[in-house]
Amino acid sequence: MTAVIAGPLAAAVIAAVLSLFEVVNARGRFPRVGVLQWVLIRVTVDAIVAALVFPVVLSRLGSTDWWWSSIIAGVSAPIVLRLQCNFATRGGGIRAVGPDNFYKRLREAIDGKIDRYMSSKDSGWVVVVAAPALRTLPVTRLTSEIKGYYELRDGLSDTKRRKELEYFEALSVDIVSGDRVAYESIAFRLLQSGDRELLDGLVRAGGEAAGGDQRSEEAITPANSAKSSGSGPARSAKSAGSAGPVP
Amino acid sequence: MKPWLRATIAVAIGAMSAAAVNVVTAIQFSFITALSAGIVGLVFATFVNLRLLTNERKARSPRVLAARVALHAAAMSGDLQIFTTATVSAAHNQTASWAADTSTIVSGRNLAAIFARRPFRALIEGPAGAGKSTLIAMMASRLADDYLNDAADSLPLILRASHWGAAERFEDWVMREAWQQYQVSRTSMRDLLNTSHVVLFLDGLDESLDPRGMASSMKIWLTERPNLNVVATCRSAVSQELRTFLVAFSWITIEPLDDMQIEEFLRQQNLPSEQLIAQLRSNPQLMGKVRRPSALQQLVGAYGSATRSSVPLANTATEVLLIDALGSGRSFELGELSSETSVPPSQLRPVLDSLIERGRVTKNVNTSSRTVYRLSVSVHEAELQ
Repeated sequence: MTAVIAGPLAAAVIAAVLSLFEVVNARGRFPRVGVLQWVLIRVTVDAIVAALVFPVVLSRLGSTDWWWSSIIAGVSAPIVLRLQCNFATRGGGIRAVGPDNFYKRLREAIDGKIDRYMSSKDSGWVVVVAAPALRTLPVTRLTSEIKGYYELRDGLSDTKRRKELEYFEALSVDIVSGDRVAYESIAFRLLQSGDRELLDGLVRAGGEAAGGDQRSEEAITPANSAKSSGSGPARSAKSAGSAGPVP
Repeated sequence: MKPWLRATIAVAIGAMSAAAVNVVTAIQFSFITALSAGIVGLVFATFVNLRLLTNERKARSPRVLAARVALHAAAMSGDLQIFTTATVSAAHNQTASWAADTSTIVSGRNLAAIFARRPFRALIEGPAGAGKSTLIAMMASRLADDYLNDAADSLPLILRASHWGAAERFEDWVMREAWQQYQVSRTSMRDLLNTSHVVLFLDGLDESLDPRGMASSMKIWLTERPNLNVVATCRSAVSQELRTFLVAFSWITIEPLDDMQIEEFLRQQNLPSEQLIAQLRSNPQLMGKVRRPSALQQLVGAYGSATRSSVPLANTATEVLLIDALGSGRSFELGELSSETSVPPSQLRPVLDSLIERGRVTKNVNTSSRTVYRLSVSVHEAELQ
């Protein structure tokens, strides 16, 4: 009985966890609440396949080792679903053969929906929250914080470090001229390059500065944003504590 | 190696490794071990395949590469360009030398012609802050521009010598650095080197761990590539040690700025040049320092605007970078586009307007009432290549 119910269930859970890990890892964070239904569909496909693979594995191993079968089915099902072998064609091209050919279409469609929603929310957060908060910081402070961060940050290749510094150097004229889009560009760049902790710190500092200046508190403080969105960067900013913008 | 051949080899290796492990483990009649080995083999095959395909996909078209070089060079050269005098000794006639303005060295007409005569090899030497890196950045920028406008057939690449690992094969370093700097795949880089349709700008030979070792490796490597164009920079203090390795190179020595050049530059910056020159003359130590362009730039920065920005990127290069970014098919806000292309919004706006006018890019308003840009459907995919 255990093998019939718990076995497929355990395999499905393992496959679902792996699938969820893939979703989170590809984006560097947990998906927003608004796309959970799509994440659920994606995870369910992997889970169902794992549950279906379980009896096959079990029939070879015997019922005494049902937990082994669960592990093998749970791990192998997502892998097999993503399997793709590339063969050379006569025309010099590559022909992909494997289950991934079919599963990829569904996966990409769902990923597209997740990404579009998240990027739209990110853009909204950047335009409404992050960029206005950055604008409240003095230009010299903003540029020195960013430069200092990239000059000192560990684990960054020389090329990447230089490229980031060059970009912010190039932006400096636009920043000095007060171009709104330049501040949005900073936020987008920090989001895309995964330097979220710096962005959150700067937004928090900007929010505090704005609060001190009695300017547009409702619109730009991260705490308000956290209330409205429930997750995402604003929540991170809130939880950043009082460490300040530079790590 | 052709991509299809690499992919086939990867599949073969993966399948063979899976089969080999399976044969070994099947002897023990352990189903779990055999199944695990099979999965490991298949994962390996998939991983190798995906990795190969990803690398090939990431390989950028030569036009995008040229635009990236132009962007990098623009950032390197800075907005305050000071032209100095350089003494040029041609490789074929070491005894004769002549003075040239560095502005003529980077002038568009001369440059394409110089690099069309293969091989052109030069070492630019001078003290720290003399403007060696700026000079090669300006040369690379001009050449990238020519390449984008079909006026030159050589793609410039600026490589940092400081990233050379001692005892590393020179070609390995060139491949690695080209990939890290501009995402040029090994296949593309090998094609470029084999056809000599590339100009390597090696910045800061003196900054490498072992300048003599690097120069020696380069000399041996260049004997196998007789038509390749190379321009290197090195500080004067180290360059003399490298002379024996760089016999085939023309020697370009950047001279210190003279009083007239300093005065002219200060006048261009709308500073009281005569007054400043008089003050500088009364302080010979300071005058000695500002004969180096980097120190003169600092002086101008102290008097004028403290913000130094990069030189505006040419519109052709900006356009190529924009179309490359928009090629993903998504809609982008202006700020996102700036972040994707690394070009400031103020430089993007006119180019975007021009692209919209020509029907290549469409401008829409998204659900959040914000302006987004998207590649026009009529732009054929081939145009992205």
